Amino acid sequence: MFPPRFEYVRVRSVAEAVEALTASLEGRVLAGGQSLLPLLRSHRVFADVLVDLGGVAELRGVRDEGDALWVGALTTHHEVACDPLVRVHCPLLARAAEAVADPAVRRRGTVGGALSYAAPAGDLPVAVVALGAECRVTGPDGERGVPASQFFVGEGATAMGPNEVLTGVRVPKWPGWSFHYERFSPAGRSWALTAAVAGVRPEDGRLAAARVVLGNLAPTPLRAPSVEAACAGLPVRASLMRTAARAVEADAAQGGRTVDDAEHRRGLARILAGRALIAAAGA
Amino acid sequence: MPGIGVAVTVDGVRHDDEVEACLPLTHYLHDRVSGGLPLGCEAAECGGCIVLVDGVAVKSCLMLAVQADGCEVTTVRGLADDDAVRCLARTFRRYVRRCAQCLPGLTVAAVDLLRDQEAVLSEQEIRARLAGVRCPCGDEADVVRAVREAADVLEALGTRTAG
Repeated sequence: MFPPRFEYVRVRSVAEAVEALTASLEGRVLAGGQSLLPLLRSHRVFADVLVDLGGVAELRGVRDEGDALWVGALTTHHEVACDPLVRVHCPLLARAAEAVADPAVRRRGTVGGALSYAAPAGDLPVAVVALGAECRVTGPDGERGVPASQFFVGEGATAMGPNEVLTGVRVPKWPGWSFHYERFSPAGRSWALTAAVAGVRPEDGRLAAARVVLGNLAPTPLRAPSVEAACAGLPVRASLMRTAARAVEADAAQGGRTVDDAEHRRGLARILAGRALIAAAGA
Repeated sequence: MPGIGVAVTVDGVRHDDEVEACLPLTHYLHDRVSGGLPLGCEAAECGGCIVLVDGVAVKSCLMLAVQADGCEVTTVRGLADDDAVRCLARTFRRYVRRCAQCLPGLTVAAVDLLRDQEAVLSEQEIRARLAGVRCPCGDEADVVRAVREAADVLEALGTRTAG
């Protein structure tokens, strides 16, 4: 059982969901339930009303919007990982979705759910921040877009208001860029102890630009400007990129949190960022 | 709080019930399946609660009974008596020594994998596809062996394309 008890509302549209949330005291949105149900069970979250979005068909699927892809909040990790549009235009997102938990969880877990859950160890938050995606949010005052870099505000906390619903993400296509995702899981576990995304734009054998985002080093995905700066203009050579990744130390000192194994994670982040850069650049 | 009406087909039998919103699907199935089903760890760890919902292998402890309204659920007891199930039952008997908690879900996940004609059943792929079952009673080595051998038999029978 999931005590304490809650009321259950199945909605047919986003507008109905917002209405139900507004009418509730401590309403929660239920999508795939793969994060929310364990939270309810362990009493880490209290809800008087569960608003089940499951029946809102318009929030499911992937659309090509020209310079970006729109991924509906109810699209499952499995669907994202297999989607032909995602695999062609945002392969990083497919790779991150493929890394989530295990196959059974990926069949029900949704993109919107994983982003709203905002777990520091999550695979999708780092990916959407690295890809400069925009989170589309609908609430009582209408629809708005929140850049992914501002969407995550803390461990399990987002920039969404209590009566707002994440409806999807707009992910730019990044022509000319190549991204790669690296993660490290503790033995026998599926979540990432540390993760790194690197994106590069190679030009004439050099890195014209780079984007690096680190996962689970801070409560929210951590952009690594020092590594990016160290990469700019670098010849595409594995040893040089590995050296550039050492700048992770400087970035982690800026935003990293103080946990017991912080030093271990920083070391991992340096290695993962180096590997991700090398793989992205194809060196 | 009043019950919510649901219609769930469990192993081919339709049930019309009134359930509480907070009832996990695992508990619902436990009461509906003849002979009962183990509840598993209830923390989404062991994978013993894996069932097919509309043909897709999912963890029933991570679903509410109300979410299964209108769905067709297949538990280990309702798996069709086809070649895949029979072959797997034989190789499971030979190699797999697992606890009663995780075995039902493990069987469902393995059958789901074996029926997937697209899957290339390398050792790595079998491990990856069965990663949802994590029980302290054993590691995947025995299961990998059982699934691989069942796949070999099915390929010899011609019901599975080699891969």
